[in-house]
Amino acid sequence: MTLVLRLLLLLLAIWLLGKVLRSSAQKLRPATSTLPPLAERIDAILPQTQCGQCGHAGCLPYAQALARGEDSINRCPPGGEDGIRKLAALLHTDYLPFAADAPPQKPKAVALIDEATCIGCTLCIQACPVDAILGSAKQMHTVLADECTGCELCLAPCPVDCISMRPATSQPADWRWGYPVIAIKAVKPGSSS
Amino acid sequence: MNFGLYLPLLAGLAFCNHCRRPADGQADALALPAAIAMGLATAIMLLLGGGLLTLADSARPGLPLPLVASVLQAASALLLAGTLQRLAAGTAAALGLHWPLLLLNSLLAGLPLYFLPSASSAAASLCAALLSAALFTLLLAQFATLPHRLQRCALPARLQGRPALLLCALIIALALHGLGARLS
Repeated sequence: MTLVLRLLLLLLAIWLLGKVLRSSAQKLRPATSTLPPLAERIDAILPQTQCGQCGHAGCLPYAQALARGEDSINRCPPGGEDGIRKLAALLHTDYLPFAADAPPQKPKAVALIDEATCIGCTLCIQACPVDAILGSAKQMHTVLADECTGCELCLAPCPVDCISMRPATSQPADWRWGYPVIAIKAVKPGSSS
Repeated sequence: MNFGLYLPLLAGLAFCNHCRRPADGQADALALPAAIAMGLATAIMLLLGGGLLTLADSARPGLPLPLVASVLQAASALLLAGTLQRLAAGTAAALGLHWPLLLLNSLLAGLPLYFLPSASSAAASLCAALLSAALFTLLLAQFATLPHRLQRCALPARLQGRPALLLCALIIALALHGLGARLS
């Protein structure tokens, strides 16, 4: 009789422990579910140039491919090495140098339209992924320098080659003092001027 | 062994359990569920160990009680730890249900029960196991909520944190010793 009672109490305690574990697991779960999906977190790291140098149509498709594990983290030249390190930390993978077939890294540049040559064909407007070019048919076009990401997608469609890339001028927010360069001359002992 | 020694032992064990809790971001939110889970786990180990001892005693009477009780209590703790690891490893780890702690609780809370003079019959032994598990759960819950209550007290800087908890554990142990001495 006591053994049966002991067994019943044991089953009751096991059931209660299961309930406590289940409710605790539900308390633990919101900590992970409040995070945005992985693709969104990857997209937040990417530079949003929408340049397509990674082989995808834009930053979000590349982020989705990375989240699915279908592409490698070293295919975004505008993001630079810093971007690769951030992606590696987020995805818990090893750092990878840029792929051999990846376009070379360039300093940030903005497109500049030679207004005297522009014929107003609107092809560059259609190519710009971030709508940084203003203009209309047979009217002069111009580039909004603040919006331009330097993706160079407007260069190829231009029939008169009136678009060139110029180094982005620094803004007050990102301007830095240049380090002074001091030439050091090697002086041989014993030689006197 | 008598209640005057056993009940303060439970207080010390509860204090050790509280000190072994991981201090991560969710420790505060899970303090009370962890105390309840550990209390229930201890109850399971005590009931399982006692039941197995009854079966072993009826199957082969005359076995040395301390040895058999130690083996069965350890076996019940490891069995429970293994089951938790298999079924809910993440939650069990977050609640502090690790096998060394389960083994310690099973042995220290379970073994003295077999040597209490009042737990001679099977029913009395079952009652003692249930009461000790309930008291242990209450003590764990007490230590889980004590840090917050102590923070509201204007304690001297030297006493804040672990020393204040240790003092509380000593006071509780002394009170339980007095209660146990009356029961014995």
